[in-house]
Amino acid sequence: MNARQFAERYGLIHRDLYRFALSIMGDAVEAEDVLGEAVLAAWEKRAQLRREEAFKSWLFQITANACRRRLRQAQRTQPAEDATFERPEDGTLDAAEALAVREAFAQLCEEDRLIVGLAVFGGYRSREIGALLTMNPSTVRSRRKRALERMAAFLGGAN
Amino acid sequence: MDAHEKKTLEALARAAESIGVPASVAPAAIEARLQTLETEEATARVLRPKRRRWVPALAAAACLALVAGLGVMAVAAGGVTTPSLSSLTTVADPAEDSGAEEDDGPLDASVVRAVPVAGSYEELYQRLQGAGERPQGDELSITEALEAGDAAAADASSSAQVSSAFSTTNVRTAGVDEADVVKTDGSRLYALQDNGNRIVIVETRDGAMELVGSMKPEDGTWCELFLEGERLYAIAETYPEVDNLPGVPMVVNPRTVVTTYDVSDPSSPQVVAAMQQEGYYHSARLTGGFLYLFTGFMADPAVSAEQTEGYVPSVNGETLAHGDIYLPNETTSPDCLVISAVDTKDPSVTTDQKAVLCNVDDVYVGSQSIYVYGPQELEDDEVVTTVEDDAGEETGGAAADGADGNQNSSTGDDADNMADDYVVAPSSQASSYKSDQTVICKLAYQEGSIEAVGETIVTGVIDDSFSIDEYEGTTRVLTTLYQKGEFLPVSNRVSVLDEQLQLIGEVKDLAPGERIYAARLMGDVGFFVTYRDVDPLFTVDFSDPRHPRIAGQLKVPGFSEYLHPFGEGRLLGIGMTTEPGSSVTTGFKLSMFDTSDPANVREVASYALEGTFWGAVLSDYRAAFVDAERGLVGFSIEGSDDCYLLFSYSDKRGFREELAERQARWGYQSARGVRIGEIFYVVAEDQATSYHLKGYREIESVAL
Repeated sequence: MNARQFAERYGLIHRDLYRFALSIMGDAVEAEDVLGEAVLAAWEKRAQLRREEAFKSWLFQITANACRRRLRQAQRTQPAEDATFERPEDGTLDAAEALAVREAFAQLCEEDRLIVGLAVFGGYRSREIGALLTMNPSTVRSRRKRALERMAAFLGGAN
Repeated sequence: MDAHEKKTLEALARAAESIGVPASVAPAAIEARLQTLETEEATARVLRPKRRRWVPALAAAACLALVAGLGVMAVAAGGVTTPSLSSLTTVADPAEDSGAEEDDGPLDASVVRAVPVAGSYEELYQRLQGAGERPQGDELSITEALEAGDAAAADASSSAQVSSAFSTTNVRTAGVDEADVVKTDGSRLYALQDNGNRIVIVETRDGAMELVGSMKPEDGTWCELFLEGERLYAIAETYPEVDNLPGVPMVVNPRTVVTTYDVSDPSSPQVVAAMQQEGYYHSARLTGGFLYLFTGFMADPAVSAEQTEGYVPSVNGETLAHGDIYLPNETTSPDCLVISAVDTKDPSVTTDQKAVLCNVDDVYVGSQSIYVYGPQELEDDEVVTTVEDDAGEETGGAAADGADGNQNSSTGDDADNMADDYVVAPSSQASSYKSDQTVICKLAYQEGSIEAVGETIVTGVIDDSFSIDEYEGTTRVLTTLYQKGEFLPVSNRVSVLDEQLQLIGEVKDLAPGERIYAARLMGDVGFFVTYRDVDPLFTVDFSDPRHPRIAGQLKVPGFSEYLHPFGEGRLLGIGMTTEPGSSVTTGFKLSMFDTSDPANVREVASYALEGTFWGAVLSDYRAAFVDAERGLVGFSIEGSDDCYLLFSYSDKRGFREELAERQARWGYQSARGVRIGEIFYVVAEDQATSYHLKGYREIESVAL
């Protein structure tokens, strides 16, 4: 896979990847950094990618691990106090809802954000997420469920 | 995944829609960057990874910190290849010589084989190269935590959880203890805290509590613990930091460590031994003086055959012998379950260790055997299930309103089968469909030795470890059949297998269009719950294992996710309420069933908590506190607040909420209720609170 091919495949998923990184890191600058690191790491290891169809999972996994590593180094186990996403620019109802959702997400702990983030931005299910994070898929399933129910309750209460 | 979860996921996706990507990580910039690197590499031909840091907008490469745990989802291209049996060395009892890869006879009959073992690492390696994708089975395989039910003590009055002095972990099999986040020895509480960063020891006396000691893991975070006498076995999981090392494998498995402490002086716990095992922590059991540790190991097919550490798990630093690796015929997984046995008299070494190559959904540990089970991936051209009748509701989706699609004509084959409503009538159109299948690998375990005794396939999906049960030499299995790739269930089935996992009896085509939510098999009688829009609670009569039959069913609104015997003739159900005629959940529900006449089960009490949608007890039976003797049910719910609830039950007054302890914030782990004498302790995140069981007055609350 040459640079152009890599970049092409990357282009198909880069938005989801960035939003995923942002949701985990809680900070735009860090997310940019981490994603850049992950892409470079993936490029270095591109020979180990056996099937091109697995590019997306592969890159998500590298990004997830890069996030984890970064967070552990910074010893941040709580989400950032600031909103995890940029503030909406308009005052519409949609924007308000989006902000509430982001706040709810920010309440989750790092592992739950990784799990939910992979579910939302990668579209992965529990077994895939378990493989990506080397976590017990049953644990993934119940934690995802708990995290989403908590968010739903949080949002329900906020309304 | 239910409607609630989907809605929240969609809301999250919408919330992120407007977020743009910074220029430095946009595809054009990435392409430019990579092309620069490509050119550099071509010129310099330096193949070893350098340390580079991504510096946005700077052209010069500095260092790159290789990320930990780079993983590769890719597996070798190509279809599934099953090794020919002639090349395998069979270590297990070769009683069954199944030379053919395909099943003999109808594929929905279970097939028994010996369990082959890897004759060499090369063989394991080759097997992994042919490994298929990990099956996705999310909505389809709903197995959650391991559970306990006493296969041997059949009576509904089994009160396996409660000794007279204090309560114990709610386990799946009486006599087989399970690790948990909170334990007591009747005077002290031992609890995980701080996201697994500490285990705390709390001295109690009649409700007064004092934090007297704590332990931090040497590495990683605590997961669960056991307590036996003055010994505490603490289980931690640790993710190794992987730096920029040449040839480092792409898949990095965590390590699971069991540290043994002497807690005779709780203010100063002493490490006396430690052992470790590769893989994420799955679960553990303690029985007969031995600790059995289960971990999940994910092989990295991207490594070469020489790099055995990349695809062979190790226990206590030693790679497993290939003769200890079971390769069930029916699995195509790059993952395996690693099982080791540790003698509590010498907990630094293992007395036995085995690995089973399998997509593991879950593990059921009975008093005699360990059952490892998970989804089986089929070849595309293999038709699995032939149904002679039109079993599916082709109108697609839970029939929320209008007629339910059951064809109610009679003709079960078995005249005694009273569930005629649930046996789908033959139609003129034969319909065959590919159904999900489950591989079961059975291992005998005792006194620290573990040996596979057989494997089989059952048609359908096992909901959780209560749907598989060992009793008097037979294994009963309840499955839900799904059309492959579809989320809607087609039908359900009760199967009875003998000691060699041969099918000896079954009831098929039950509850069409519904799936199993809960089960409790208690010797000759079993109960299970299916649901689509009404909850049939089925009674199964297993007294003749070759002819299991449906003895009765009860339809109630909502459904139970967990069933627990509650004294003589009573069965407790914890589950959900639903909008009438649909599967949309609206809250929690407690039910009490009168099972004194199993053919005529009645719901005698119920209690609804509308607006509550999640509690650990729905997927982890250890989170349930059930004391039939005292008529108590406790569990925590998790929603906008976490809250621990304790209910009393009596036939006269039904369910009454006696305690509702709100937690300050979302806990990392769910709270546990523990009884010592007549004092009830709620052990939650950051605090423990004690209550008199008479009157339910709070005594004290301490920070942990």
